[in-house]
Amino acid sequence: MFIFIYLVKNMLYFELKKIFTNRRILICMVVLLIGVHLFSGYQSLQQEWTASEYKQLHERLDQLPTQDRMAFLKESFDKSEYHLRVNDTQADVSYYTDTYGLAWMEAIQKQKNEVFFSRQVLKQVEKEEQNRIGYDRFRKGIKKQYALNHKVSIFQKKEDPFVGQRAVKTMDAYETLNITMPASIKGSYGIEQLLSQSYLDIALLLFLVFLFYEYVVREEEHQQLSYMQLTKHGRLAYYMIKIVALWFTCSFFIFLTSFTLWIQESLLYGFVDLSACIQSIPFCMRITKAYSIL
Amino acid sequence: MKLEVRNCGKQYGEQWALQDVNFTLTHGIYALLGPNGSGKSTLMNILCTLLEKTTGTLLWEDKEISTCENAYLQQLGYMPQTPCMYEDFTLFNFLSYMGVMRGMPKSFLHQRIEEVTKKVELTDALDKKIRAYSGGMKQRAMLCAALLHDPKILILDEPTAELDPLKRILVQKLLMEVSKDKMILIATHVVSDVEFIADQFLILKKGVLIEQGSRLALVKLLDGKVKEVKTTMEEYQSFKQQYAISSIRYEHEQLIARVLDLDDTLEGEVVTANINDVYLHLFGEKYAVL
Ligand SMILES: Nc1ncnc2c1ncn2[C@@H]1O[C@H](COP(=O)(O)OP(=O)(O)OP(=O)(O)O)[C@@H](O)[C@H]1O
Ligand SMILES: [Mg+2]
Repeated sequence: MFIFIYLVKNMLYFELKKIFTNRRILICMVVLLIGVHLFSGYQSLQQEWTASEYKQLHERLDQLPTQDRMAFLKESFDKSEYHLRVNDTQADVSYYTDTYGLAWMEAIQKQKNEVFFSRQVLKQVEKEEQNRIGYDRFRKGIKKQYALNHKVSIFQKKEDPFVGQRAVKTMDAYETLNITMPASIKGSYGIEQLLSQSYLDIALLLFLVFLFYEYVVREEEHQQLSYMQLTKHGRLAYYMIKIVALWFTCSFFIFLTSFTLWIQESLLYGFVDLSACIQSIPFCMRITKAYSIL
Repeated sequence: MKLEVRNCGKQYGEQWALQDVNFTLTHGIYALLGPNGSGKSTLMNILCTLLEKTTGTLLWEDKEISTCENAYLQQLGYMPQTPCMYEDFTLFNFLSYMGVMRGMPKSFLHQRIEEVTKKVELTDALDKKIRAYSGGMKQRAMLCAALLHDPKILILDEPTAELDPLKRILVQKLLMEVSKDKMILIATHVVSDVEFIADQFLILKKGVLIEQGSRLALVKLLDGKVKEVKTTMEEYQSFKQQYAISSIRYEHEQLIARVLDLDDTLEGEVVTANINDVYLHLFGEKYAVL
């Protein structure tokens, strides 16, 4: 057993050395990395709102007490909406007169030069805020669902064990999940972007193909594989170690791209506390484990 | 120590690269001679179990090799015709890697690396990347890898093809030194490299083993038939059409041609034949009698 570990360690060392001293593989890695970054940069340029606007809005929000934030967002939204219509004499402005009054409208008319938050960025931030405050409601919803299921099964007298069990399980999972939503989720958009990007997968696939070609196909072509076959551990053990090395290198690549992208996104959208619970990212809300984002 | 090849044949598609080859190796140095494409590498690959033979059997110590493959491979050091090292490794890395793959203990491995690199004069280049090696250095490095685990059987495919004269002598001496308790099979077409170190010669022609024997036995084929003939350039032009000529040179402004005179028709000084003459005799197209 000890010999086995010693052997695996040594063989793996040389396999990784082969990969990480191979210039073509390193170049491919760097090129893909740059490509991913350029692409993600390009994507954020494509948005209708800029990253600085997003950051600015979050800074404003953080100054407000939590309960006032939604109202602020709503008002900002109306402000920019109304601002668009200021010069349109035909427009129906009765909504604004009713809700905010004439003084409010005049103030906006005067502030010709002030930058209003665009509607898209407001929507995005609203979504994040909704998620933050809505999480409790979401949990309660689950509980209700459980109670409902329970009732139904009682009335039917014919319990479907799976539905029941699953509801209990879900309930338990959410009950025992003791997480605190961070008070501010400044910039979770960056992470959201990061986690939902498909170009990362494409980059990984390209990398894997290239790595396989360089590391396995080329060795075969250069008769290195058959040369190794003549050694004591050159067959089964060798192939196993090669698979492990491939897996390891790919993991490393994923880590590298994710990490550098995280830095890039964070610089754009603000840093997120990576130890915050993962549910603070809107589309990860349903996760039942107390993972942190990291 | 005994390696026996019986009725061995190899077919690539329609073409037979090797046909009905029979021989037995015990210890000593064996030279495998033959022109390009005669099947030397094919035969060696079969001996190393890298290539599946089409017909025949291979016996190691009277046992079919496929039944004792691991034990056989443990004893085998193979040097392929083209270097197949990892270009981004240093020689030290590469040899350590080979040692690990062969399951050699670390201290023994380091000792062996030192020994073998010293023997081929590569100690100074141990920490240089193989990418930066010259052709001759790569060949010596491959030889190191083959010798590393001190195998009983050495199969070397053109080990001296790219070496300079001094390194050739070095490798010849090295092979002589280690040959005492080993079986060494060397494929080459540089006849002079093996002429005096090989105990036995195996000569392949188009996949067929046409001659087999010691140097003296082969040279006997041409006993009294190699002559050095004094001639002029004009005469030489005409009789080079009729005879196989193994070399020409000027001596005191006199042109001297070394001729294989098989029918004993020429006037000249009879000299002792060498393996080069035999090679010419066997492969010089027009004059080949076999
Ligand atoms: N993979 C292959 N597929 C088809 N034919 C092959 C293959 N490998 C070798 N041959 C043929 O087998 C014959 C013997 O080739 P081999 O490489 O054994 O020659 P060789 O004696 O080593 O030549 P050289 O001195 O050039 O190294 C040649 O005619 C060659 O064309
Ligand atoms: Mg060859």
